[in-house]
Amino acid sequence: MITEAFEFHTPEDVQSAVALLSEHGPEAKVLAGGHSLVPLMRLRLTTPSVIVDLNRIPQLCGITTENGSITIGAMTTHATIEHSAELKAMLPVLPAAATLIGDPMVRNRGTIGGSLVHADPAGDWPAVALALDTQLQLVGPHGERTVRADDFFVDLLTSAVEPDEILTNITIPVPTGRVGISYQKFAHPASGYAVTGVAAMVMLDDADVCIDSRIAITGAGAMAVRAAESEAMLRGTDLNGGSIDHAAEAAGSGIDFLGDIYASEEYREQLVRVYTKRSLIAALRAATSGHGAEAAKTI
Amino acid sequence: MKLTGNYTMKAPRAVVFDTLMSVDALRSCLPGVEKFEHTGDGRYETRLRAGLAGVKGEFAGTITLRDPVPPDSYTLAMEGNFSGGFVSGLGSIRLEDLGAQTRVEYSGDAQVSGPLASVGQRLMAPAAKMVVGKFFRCMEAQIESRTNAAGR
Amino acid sequence: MVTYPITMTVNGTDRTDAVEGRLLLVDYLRNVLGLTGTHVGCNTSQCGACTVLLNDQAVKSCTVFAVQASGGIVLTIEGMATDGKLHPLQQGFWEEHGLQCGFCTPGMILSSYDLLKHNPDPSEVEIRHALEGNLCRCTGYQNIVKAVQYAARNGVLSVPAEESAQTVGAQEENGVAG
Ligand SMILES: Cc1cc2nc3c(=O)[nH]c(=O)nc-3n(C[C@H](O)[C@H](O)[C@H](O)COP(=O)(O)OP(=O)(O)OC[C@H]3O[C@@H](n4cnc5c(N)ncnc54)[C@H](O)[C@@H]3O)c2cc1C
Ligand code: FES
Ligand code: FES
Repeated sequence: MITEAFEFHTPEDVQSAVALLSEHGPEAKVLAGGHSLVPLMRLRLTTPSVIVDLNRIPQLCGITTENGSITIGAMTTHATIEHSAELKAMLPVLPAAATLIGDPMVRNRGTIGGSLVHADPAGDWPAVALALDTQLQLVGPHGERTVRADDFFVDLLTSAVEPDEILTNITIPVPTGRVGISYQKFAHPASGYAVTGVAAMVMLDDADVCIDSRIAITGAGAMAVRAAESEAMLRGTDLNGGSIDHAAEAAGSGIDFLGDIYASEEYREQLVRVYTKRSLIAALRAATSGHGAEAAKTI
Repeated sequence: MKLTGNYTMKAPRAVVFDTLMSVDALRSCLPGVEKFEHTGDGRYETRLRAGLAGVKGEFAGTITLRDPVPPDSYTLAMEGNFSGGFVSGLGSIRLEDLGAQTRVEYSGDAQVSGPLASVGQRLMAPAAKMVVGKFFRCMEAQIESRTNAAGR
Repeated sequence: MVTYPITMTVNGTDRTDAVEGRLLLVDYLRNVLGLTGTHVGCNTSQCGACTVLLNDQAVKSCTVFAVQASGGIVLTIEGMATDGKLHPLQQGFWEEHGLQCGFCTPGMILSSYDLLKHNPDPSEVEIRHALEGNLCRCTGYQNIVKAVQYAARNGVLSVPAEESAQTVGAQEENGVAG
């Protein structure tokens, strides 16, 4: 199917893009990589009459680092993140997770910003962003605001971004010390989307005691969420004994599990346990080996 | 696509049943009703636009409420065009008496065909869940305003 | 009907047109330019049959609007052979029986070309990872992998003549690092 007709705009800076959104109201939609939006438009499940293409705004692209944090422009593609030498050195879980998204063509066009704003229940970046305590910068007609990842994912396909706002970039504090981060996903064999994906961060003190942990789960429910109960169970333990097993058991509590033709609710519940455990073990291995990060997928 | 769940309403079972069967209540609580006309035997000619977060689906077809066993159960059948594809579904709704409250258990299965089935499959169940949740919350509000009106 | 002026270089030839915003790049290539070597398989962004190179990157042309490609450089399967001589990748699909019905082949070749440009000597695992977005219903992929290996052995880096401007002209539109 072809999409409904629309007016096409290519603003060259953020201010003009925001002005276009204010002018046209809810009928206008931002176009980033188009790999979620265009398929929906082609099914006419969304029918914007105005498209504001962000692809000609250079300010929205690229990766910069300063004062121990990394800032990534919203229009930075998955492929740019996948191949970034800077990120491979500073926060290797990002390129490693990017490699697991869809396929090369999806990664060449799809953007980290689009993926976060779209808040697909099976998207990879939402889980990674939650586990890394990401800050998201939004610009709207009334100025700028910053939203923490914890407050960003609101519901199914719903993020905190208002229709007249644009996500400009995200900032991630690079965790220091003995930290390990991992993203493990069970990928849908056709699309690559996460049937279940778990991002885990563990921070150890010199005696190998866990002083902090963040666990985020995608693919299981209507939106990506943190497993706060499991995180709390890990703090103060040595992560050997049974603490990882107990935390993995509890990871799905509070999730209203999705079931579909591919994976039932019960199956997803089990996947959450298994992938939380795998992700925590990989994060622990990364923290103790000083390697920093790991990511992997299973089909 | 299978859809099961339950919703507990703060009202006795007979009231909940009557409201779930009421044309007026249905018209106000089904999402984006553009048309909802009774054509006899519990059959309604329907046109709905259900939307969430800028994603909208359009349903045009029939909804049938049949086999009512007041205040215990009924069956809901729907059939029609849904956003370039075809959907037919059957659901059974049971009301469990919890005294002042009623638990509505629903369980259904729908077949969807067309391009939506291949691409949208993944998102259909969670979207439907959301729509159903909204529907029951709205029904609960309907009951509340009805009881308030009756009490006056 | 509102139209927008677009210009782009397709297989080395400059093209100028006025198109509707909703015209997809694949439909522009096939229906306006008559370049029907780029196929439409699924029409839902999943199969990769419509893969072309846009500014040096493999993209699904059914998921990009033609207006978005304006100012860019496009390479399709028609631009691969030079002077009547098959490109080593095309030769590889021929020699190794990398196709049966051939429907997926143009997309396979363009995706493989993108891979070999960045990684001239890929392992089998890397080839399979690079072709994850290209579905084939006939071959079982085994011979497709062999075809790519054939091309890697036989000098795929002989860039098609039409495309030689590409490396220089490639836009940093999305700030992509190769
Ligand atoms: C075959 C296929 C496989 C895929 N596999 C995966 C996978 O394995 N994992 C995964 O995570 N994803 C996957 N995706 C989705 C892909 O990553 C998308 O690119 C991503 O979800 C959306 O990003 P986009 O840049 O394409 O956004 P678009 O599709 O352009 O936009 C998505 C939505 O976000 C809004 N938006 C975009 N950018 C901004 C902004 N800066 N400010 C405000 N609003 C904005 C748009 O208006 C739109 O509503 C897949 C997609 C396809 C087609
Ligand atoms: S036709 Fe473009 S991906 Fe299938
Ligand atoms: S050769 Fe027939 S689809 Fe690949």
